[in-house]
Amino acid sequence: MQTVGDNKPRLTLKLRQKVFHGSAGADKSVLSDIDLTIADGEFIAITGPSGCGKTTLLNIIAGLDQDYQGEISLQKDNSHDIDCAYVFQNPSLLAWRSVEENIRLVNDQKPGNNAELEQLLTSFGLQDIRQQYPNQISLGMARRVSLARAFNVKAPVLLMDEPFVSLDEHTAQYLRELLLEQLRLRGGSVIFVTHNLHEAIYMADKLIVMGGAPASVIEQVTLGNERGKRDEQGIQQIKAGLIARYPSILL
Amino acid sequence: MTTLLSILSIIIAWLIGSYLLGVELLPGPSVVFSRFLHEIQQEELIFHTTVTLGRVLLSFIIAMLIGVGVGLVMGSSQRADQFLDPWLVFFLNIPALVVIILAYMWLGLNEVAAIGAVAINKIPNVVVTIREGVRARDPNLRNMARVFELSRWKSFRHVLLPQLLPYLAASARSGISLIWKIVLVVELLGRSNGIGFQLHLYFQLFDIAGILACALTFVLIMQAIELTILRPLESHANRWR
Repeated sequence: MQTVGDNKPRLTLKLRQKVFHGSAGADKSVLSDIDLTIADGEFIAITGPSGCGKTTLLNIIAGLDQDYQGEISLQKDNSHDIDCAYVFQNPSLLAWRSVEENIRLVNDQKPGNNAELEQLLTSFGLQDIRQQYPNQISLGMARRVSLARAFNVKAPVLLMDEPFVSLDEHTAQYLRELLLEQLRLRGGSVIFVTHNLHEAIYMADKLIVMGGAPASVIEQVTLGNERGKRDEQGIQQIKAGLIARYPSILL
Repeated sequence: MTTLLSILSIIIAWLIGSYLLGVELLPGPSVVFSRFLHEIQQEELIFHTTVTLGRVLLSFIIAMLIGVGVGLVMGSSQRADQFLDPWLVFFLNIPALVVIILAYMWLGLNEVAAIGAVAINKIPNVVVTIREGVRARDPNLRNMARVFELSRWKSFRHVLLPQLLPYLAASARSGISLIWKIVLVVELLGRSNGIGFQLHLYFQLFDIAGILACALTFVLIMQAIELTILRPLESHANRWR
């Protein structure tokens, strides 16, 4: 678990504008004026209509997209290996490397660190399939591997892009619990993009609703520190309230 | 089974051709085969074959190294691609014979000119294939490598190279067969040893059985390379599929 001495936020984003340059000068502004701060250990869920630029936003934060106006500052300390860990919507595993090799890849695990890797494999339930290749395992398993990979590096921020989409509800719920448990053990801040409002309210400390064209933040809901403990009734109540206010965006 | 039938059909077609053209113009399989058995017991054929194989190997290595290097650069940088593309088009379309003759005229009738000329003929094909491979790589995996800050070597070794292997195998395979054909021409025009030189000699003597025996030697050697080196390499690279 990391603790930060001062109360500086982990990440501050002041995004003025993001434009996609189309052919023949057909530029399209997709994101504008998005201000976001994430405290250490905070779990933020972002939701909004599909195609509104949520993935683009994550890619900007991850440093994959550097063509934007604005600034990002990230509080990183010596214990961190990289800026952001990322669980992509597509598991993005190397098909030609085994499960174990895929997880090992992101960290220069020295022989002494094997205990750490073993523990990671155990807590994600991957010991039995460690030698298998990604095309031999199910999508749910591949998502689990992708999650384990993200936890094999120490990063101040974990980005997640619809990590549990197109799974059956049982598997998705198992992975949600796994994620919350690992966050309890290891700490770290999370930015979690999802279409699933129920999932967002269940897990997040803060919910951000994006919408409009170009998209910006239309509401920030502070949910409080009840991550994973919120009961069904409470979730439905918050959900209904949000949908009543933003039917065009959330339905 | 089908392969056997196919080989049998070649031999039958050969026999018919030999019957129609006459044994002077097209000696039958048995004549060529016994000539082949006779020749491979002579030191001369072994010597010429070794010399030719050495040239094939050397120009293959040079062409692959340069071709893969340029292909990687052109595939990953748009500016480099735009700059180098006219060069590529030029070298793709210049006739092999022109390169060979010019190399001999500029550098003299020596080994450097011979091997260089062969390599220059092959490099553009390698470049095109590898550039295609680099362009076709999976953008998701590229993002993964960038986010997790994999070192240059790691992302080449584990992310890019495995995606390029089919393209490398394709250019190696087409490379070997193109190169040995060009090597023979180079030898015929300006070397005093090698199979190409030997063929030139048989040509002047109108020794058709000798020419066919040489050709048979090379076909067999290339088959052996395919079966013992290229195929096992390919199946090793594809073991995860």
